Amino acid sequence: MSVVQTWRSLNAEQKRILLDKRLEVTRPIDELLALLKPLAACDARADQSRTRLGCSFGLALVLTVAALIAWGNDVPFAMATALVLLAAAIALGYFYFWTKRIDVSNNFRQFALPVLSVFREDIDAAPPVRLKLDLGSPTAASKKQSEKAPYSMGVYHKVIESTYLDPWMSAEAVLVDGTKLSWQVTDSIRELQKTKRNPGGKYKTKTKYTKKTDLEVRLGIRKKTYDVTAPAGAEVTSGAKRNVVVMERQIRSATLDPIDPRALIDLIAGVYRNARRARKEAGA
Amino acid sequence: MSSCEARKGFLTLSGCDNPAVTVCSQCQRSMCPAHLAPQTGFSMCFDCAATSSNVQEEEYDDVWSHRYRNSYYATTGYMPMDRSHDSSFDRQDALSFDERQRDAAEDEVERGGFGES
Repeated sequence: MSVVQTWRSLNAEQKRILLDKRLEVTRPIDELLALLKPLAACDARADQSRTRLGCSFGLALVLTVAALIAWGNDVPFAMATALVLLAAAIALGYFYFWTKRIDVSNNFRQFALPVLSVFREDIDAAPPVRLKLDLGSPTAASKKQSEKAPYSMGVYHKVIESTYLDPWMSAEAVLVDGTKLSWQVTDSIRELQKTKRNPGGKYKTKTKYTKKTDLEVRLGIRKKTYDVTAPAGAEVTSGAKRNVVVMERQIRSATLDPIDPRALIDLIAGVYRNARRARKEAGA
Repeated sequence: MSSCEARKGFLTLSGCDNPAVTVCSQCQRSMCPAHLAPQTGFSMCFDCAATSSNVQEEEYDDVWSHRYRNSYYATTGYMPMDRSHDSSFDRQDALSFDERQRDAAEDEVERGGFGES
């Protein structure tokens, strides 16, 4: 199925999510996955098509210019060829920019969806899951926190350092064992734009990123179901009916690529590793 | 036919308990339609489909989830608690279940509270 066919198969809500790159829903896990999986399929097709479309668009532009030059030199059929190539370039350009417009962050397909799919059967089917996703660019202007004054460093005569804060995922769910689970994922990004002038006099700019991902997980575990000992680094507070375990983890990376969903799965599984069936139930 | 023998979950495991409609062609366990892999023509359970190299997975479908589960347990040594392992429910369990339903109703009223609901 092509990206256009996949797009047409989406309902109005799904199309709106891809265009807005935002999602804030509260619905049962199976309905949630039924909403999200077609979006992932469309995003995957768009990613596959975009490179091909981009290359074809560039080639069509170059050939159009060549045909226009040929037309100027009275080469036979050059005018017709130029017009056909121009039409092709316009069509390819339109589809290329359209696939860019519906592109969402890879965090969606490579982190959010795998996590929800792994925990699908752990999440109680009836109570709705609250999910908030921001799938826009992590370096969008609205997420910029600061920009330092340009400075020079070695061969680079201009270095601009910017920081961004992207709290892109939060979720809350009730599990089949009565545990209340919530998590938040926040990326803090440092962008370095370094510009230098090479010996030929050309200016070249490189952009480097460092990313710190903060994962915060909270589990409200029923005391009647489990006895919990605090995993290393966790904070446990005792309520009347639940022990609340809060765990945090930071992951640093040198790219904007999504982190492995296992980081979050490990944090949550770590709490369960330290849980034992409550004595009242174990003795039953 | 008996009830479905699939083990559901990742963090904890529990029984499915839906009525079984057939048996898995590999493991011969009774299965309900929800726990049969469509890729196998609904002849194999997801556990067997996940271990079979002939079965193709779709992105994040149930075969993928079961493969991920198998791989996670094997590589991390994680041993999920089997919640239906000792299913000898007594009156205390029944009371606890009733209480959980009451809690859920309270939660509906007081969404978002973590500690005391």
